[in-house]
Amino acid sequence: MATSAYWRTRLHRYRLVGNKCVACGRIFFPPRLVCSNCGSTKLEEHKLPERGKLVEYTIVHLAPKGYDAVVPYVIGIVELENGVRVVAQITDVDVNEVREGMEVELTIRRLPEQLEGGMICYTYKFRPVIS
Amino acid sequence: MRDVAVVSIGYTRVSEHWEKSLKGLFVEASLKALESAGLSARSLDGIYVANALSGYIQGQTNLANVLADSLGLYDKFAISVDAGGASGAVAIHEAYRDVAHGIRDLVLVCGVEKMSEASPQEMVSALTSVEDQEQLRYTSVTVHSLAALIYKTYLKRYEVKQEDIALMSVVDHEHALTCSHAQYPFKLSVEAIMDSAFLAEPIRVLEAPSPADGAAAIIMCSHETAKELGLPHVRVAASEIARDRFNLMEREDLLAMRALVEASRRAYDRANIKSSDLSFAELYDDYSVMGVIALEKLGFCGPGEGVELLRSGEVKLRGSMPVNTFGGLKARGAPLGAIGVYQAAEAFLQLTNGAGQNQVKDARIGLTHTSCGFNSVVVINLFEACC
Amino acid sequence: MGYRALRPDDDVGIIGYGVYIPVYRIRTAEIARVWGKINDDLPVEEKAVAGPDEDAVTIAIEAAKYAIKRAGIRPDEIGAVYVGTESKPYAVKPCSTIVAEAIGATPNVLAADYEFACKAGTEAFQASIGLVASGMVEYAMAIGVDTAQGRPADALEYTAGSGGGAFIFAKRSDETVAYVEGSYSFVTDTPDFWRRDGDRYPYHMGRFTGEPAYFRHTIMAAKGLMTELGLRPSDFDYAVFHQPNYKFPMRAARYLGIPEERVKPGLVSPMIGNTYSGSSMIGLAAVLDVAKPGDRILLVSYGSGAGSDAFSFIVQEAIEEKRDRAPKVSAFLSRRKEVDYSIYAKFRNKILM
Repeated sequence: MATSAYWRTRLHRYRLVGNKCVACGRIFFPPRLVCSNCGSTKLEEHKLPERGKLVEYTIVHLAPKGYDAVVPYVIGIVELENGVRVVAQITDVDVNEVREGMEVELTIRRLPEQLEGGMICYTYKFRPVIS
Repeated sequence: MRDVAVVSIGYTRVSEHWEKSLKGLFVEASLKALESAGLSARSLDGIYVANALSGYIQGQTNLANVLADSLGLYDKFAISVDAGGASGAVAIHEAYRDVAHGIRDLVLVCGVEKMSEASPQEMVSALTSVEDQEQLRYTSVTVHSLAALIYKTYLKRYEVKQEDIALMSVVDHEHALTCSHAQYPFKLSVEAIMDSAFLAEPIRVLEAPSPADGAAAIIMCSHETAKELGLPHVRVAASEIARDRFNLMEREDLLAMRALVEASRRAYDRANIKSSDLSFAELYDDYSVMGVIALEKLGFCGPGEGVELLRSGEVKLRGSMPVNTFGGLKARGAPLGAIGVYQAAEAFLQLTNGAGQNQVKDARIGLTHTSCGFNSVVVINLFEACC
Repeated sequence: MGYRALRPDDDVGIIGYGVYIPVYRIRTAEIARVWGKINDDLPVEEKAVAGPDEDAVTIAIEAAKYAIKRAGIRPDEIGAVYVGTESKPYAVKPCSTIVAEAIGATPNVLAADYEFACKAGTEAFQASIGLVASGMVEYAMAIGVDTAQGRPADALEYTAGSGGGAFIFAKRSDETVAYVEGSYSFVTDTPDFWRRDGDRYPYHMGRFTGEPAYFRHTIMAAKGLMTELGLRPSDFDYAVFHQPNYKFPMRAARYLGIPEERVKPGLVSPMIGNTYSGSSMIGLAAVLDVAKPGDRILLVSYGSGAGSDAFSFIVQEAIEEKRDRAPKVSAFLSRRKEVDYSIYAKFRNKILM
């Protein structure tokens, strides 16, 4: 991915901003250009709630390129407070402590992969809620 | 629209072919298909090349034209078909459509892939490249982790044991024992599978195919031409494509596999058959659980009954619903863009009584199921024994 | 020699504050075990360790969002985002723009990174107070954060920890949780600790970092503030110092005649180590988590190089409700996962790959 491509995705990476179809109300994350539900091209920016529940998870062992040093790690489906589901890494949690139903919240973290020139990638992950 | 036939096949063994390049594999499979039919490359109206990852792994884009050149084929049509794991079947669909509509007649469809040149880690990223990069790139989410989420959803919903789902791989390996082109022609036990390392929990390494190299080619033409050529042939009874949302979170239900249901229903309608009329099916089991789900969605059993069907043994060669008759993706192997053409070649062998020890008795009509992503693009090709 | 306190024309207060401390901890006894120093006096109990996916930017974003929660303002109302750190992920490229973008303060915002060793965060306080008091912005956020690296086997390895605090300033009102009575800075060129560009670990001058550095600047800044504001040590209900370890802040308090019990509530270094630019800021947050309206808080930061910023805050009514809007320092202190030296070395990229 080029720096410019990464930069184009910063709103959804940094702030969990998706979009919402004005016609049918369906919410998308990451944002779409055309509604996959009703075909409308009228979609408006929509910030997703930052808290949710972990509804399913897996533990990745075979690392993709650049992730050797961080396996095993948890990938899960988070159901946000508005019902929208997001797939993301779950961090700050031991692989043998992660449980379905855990309350989690958005955290922006750094990836081990870098873009050209050493540009650092930050992206959305979820971690257990701190109360 | 005229009837379309497959008149000849050729393929390499599925393996890590260190000494063969993409060109080498392509030429080998294509020449075998041509020689089997007693045809020269020059007699072809065009070629369709199916491949998913040459741009990513080998840095080779524009593959069809480069490969056509390697076959000494000039002045003829050549087109690359790129649709991830569905490439091979989509290429067949394209050729079928062109021949059916009289645009072309004698054509070669070849799927070729060389995955051995990527490291295991690069391979994970390469496989993920068929998905929406804006969604998945630079997120640490891999295709294996998405498959694992589907797997766990299945295990919970139907309360089955992973050992039973793993039987899919066991059956594949059993069928591959007598398959000369299989990557792994040896038995595999459930114990060995459950002992193997994790890809992403709960998926074990031995529940999914390994990177592989291979090329498979089929020659298609109008039914008229097939008769003129005097070659044993099979008819394309249907070729249907359906698509679904790539972002799994946009799907209402992770296990619905809408596109698989849609494409297969249309194919059955087109061929005027029911799923029970099939003599065999080549499933796209890129993970054991995806094979089990395919059994259900194709109509061979009800939702959640896939493992029962596996356990019953009816899916084996002598059973009532043989699947993956030469080993499927796990044991015959899965050179990504070529899979759909390998499946078609295997269907051809079954329907022309050429399957040797893997022969399904009285094979009349067979199905191939090919997918890109998680049944995000599904191609169902039906082949029928003819004349 | 005209020493003057910094007193804004209009009163400025803290409208929201937040901290973030990574979940991982390593006990100093474990570090001592690896380096064969098991009988030595340990400067702190344990320190906070940034995880493999954390850095100054990610910690700053977390602290900033909690500060916004407590403030109850919209992020796009923030006029300035200042990040003070000495563990910038980029040598050239501001952390503050990434933070500003992530919290939703862009594009109509000032953003800059501050550096003054451990007092970079309170430098940002000063600038924020000035901007707000002048009316140039309505809200200004100052963040102090670090993921400091300790050279293996060096004394500072026992204390170099990770964490950060964020404070949003606004004109004093019923919404502010504490207002600034005044501040006073004492700065000289004193080379006690530095890091050249390209070097992985800093260099420190051992005992020189004590009397001529930490203590001189801390005490002079505190005394200067008290003189200028007409205050005595007993006027303060709490005192928060920069906390490179347990002993230094306690000694500073003794020199100033401030009783231990008034320092302990803001002393977090025994549990999380020295979070450098985050240190005094997390200490201040810990005090705000428990203080009563009307309490007076002394905050004295220290940054090597060297300098101290001293502040006097008066706690307001709004603290009672606002402190519960986000996790308190105590919540972060109890959120802990212990790691051993091998995992710590892996997390902190100390292993040659």
